[in-house]
Amino acid sequence: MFSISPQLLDQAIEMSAAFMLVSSFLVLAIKRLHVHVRLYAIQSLFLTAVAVCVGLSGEKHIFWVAALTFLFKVIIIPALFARLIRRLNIQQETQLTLNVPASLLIAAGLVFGADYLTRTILTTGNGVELSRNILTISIAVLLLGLFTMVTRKKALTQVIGFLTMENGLFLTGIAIAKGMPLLVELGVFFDVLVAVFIMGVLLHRINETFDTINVEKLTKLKG
Amino acid sequence: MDWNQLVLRMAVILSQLLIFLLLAPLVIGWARKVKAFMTNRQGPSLWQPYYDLAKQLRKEVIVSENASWIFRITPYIVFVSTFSVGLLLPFFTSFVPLFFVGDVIAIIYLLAIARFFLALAGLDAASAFGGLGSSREMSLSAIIEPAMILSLFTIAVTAHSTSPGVIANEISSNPNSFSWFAPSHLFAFIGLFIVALAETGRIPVDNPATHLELTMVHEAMTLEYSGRYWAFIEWAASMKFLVFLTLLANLFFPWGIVPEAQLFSPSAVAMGFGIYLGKILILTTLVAFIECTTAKLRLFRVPDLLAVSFVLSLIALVLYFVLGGRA
Repeated sequence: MFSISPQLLDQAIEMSAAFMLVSSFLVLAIKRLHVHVRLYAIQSLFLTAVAVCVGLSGEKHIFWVAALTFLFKVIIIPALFARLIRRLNIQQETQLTLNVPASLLIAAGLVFGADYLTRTILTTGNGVELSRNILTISIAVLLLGLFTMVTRKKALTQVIGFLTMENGLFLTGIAIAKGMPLLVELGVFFDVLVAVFIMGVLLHRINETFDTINVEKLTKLKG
Repeated sequence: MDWNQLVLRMAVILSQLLIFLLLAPLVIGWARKVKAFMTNRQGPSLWQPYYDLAKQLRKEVIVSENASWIFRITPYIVFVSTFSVGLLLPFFTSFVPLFFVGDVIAIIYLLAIARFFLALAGLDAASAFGGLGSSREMSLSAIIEPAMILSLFTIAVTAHSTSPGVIANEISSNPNSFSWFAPSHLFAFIGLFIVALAETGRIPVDNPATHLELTMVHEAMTLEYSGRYWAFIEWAASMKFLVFLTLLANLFFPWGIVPEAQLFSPSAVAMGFGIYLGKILILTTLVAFIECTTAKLRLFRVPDLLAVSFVLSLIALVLYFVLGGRA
């Protein structure tokens, strides 16, 4: 069995986590719906990379998580969304309540907020550093997902925002808590999958009833 | 300081200036060649930019009768201010000739002087296109500049210095060989890369190969120039391209750069020069690749791209402090 220096592994974990952060930034910067789906797949791919690195550092059972993440979040869910976009035959760009530069600046502010938050939770100490960095990034990813849900009007983008939040939570689960029991992980994965299915059906219904998935239209009654 | 040292430094200064002047058109030629190759064309010769410059330098200058002295003086100001950046940058050695005069901030503002006068000259001849180009250039540069400053500061914070020579030395001699494999480092690089594309008028922002009035930015400002003046401006533009490539190569990946102590050894210098040339060619190829594979952005979409660059640099700086300065 070959061995990799733990320092390099730590750096690789941080790097992949940082890329997750950037991909959730890019969801805010780009308007096209199918790019959002692809960015979600890329973000999940980096989550897989984090899981693989944690697995390489000794926690063997995390490899299962990596495989499941790859299967569900990189392949199945994006494929489902791609099919949904094709079937709904909707306008390809999301509408914004806040323009791109402004939302990017606010998002950068959210990262500052996440940093401030974790600094008060975890103070410096031996071995705390990596946990704190990862916690910062995962809270930032969570906040960015929430921000996406708040400022983007298309229901599909809001689902992507929700899944981004879920990815942020998983990052903490994998990199800091070194994963949960396999049964729990499996349950969570199926939960997410089922949630995506239900949201897909819901999106379909919304589109059928209102001829759009712009959530602003949902404030009007239609009988 | 003894004579040997002095002669050596003079040699470095002279060679740097020569490299800067003579390599710049070649880099443009290489970018065009790669683009031609990728689109299955033969393309002009690698030396075409030199032929162009030589021919333009011999041609007569035609100046609009409405133009003032600003129009005449601008080519020289643009050329000289860009040229002097060459003395503030580390090329193949981390010894920077004018290290006592200025640092990366001086570089940013020397380029800003050139841009300012170019924008004035665009307005000066009172042609509609010139004014259009100037207004575009200034509104874009208002967004580019903060992004550029932020990304350069990120790398400066990593190396605890704003002097490019010290940064190159610091990073290339860092005992942690994976120091470049840090998020802040990489994001600052991407941020500066986008800035470089925007500043040198490459494709997602401006198209260097066309004179289409709807899209041009740099070309619109220089449309009135001809002959010698045009040659100086184009030469300065190619030097600016080289400045950004060198910043990207030598601040972020300064491997193989020759420290001042090793300048006496010819083999070390030759090696350092070869590595520098290789890095520049790789980066140019990357730029040409991006030009071939992406479409030009609509002008009103460009601020979005630049905002991405700004925010990436900002995240880089934040991450540097968040990640405890381990980079």
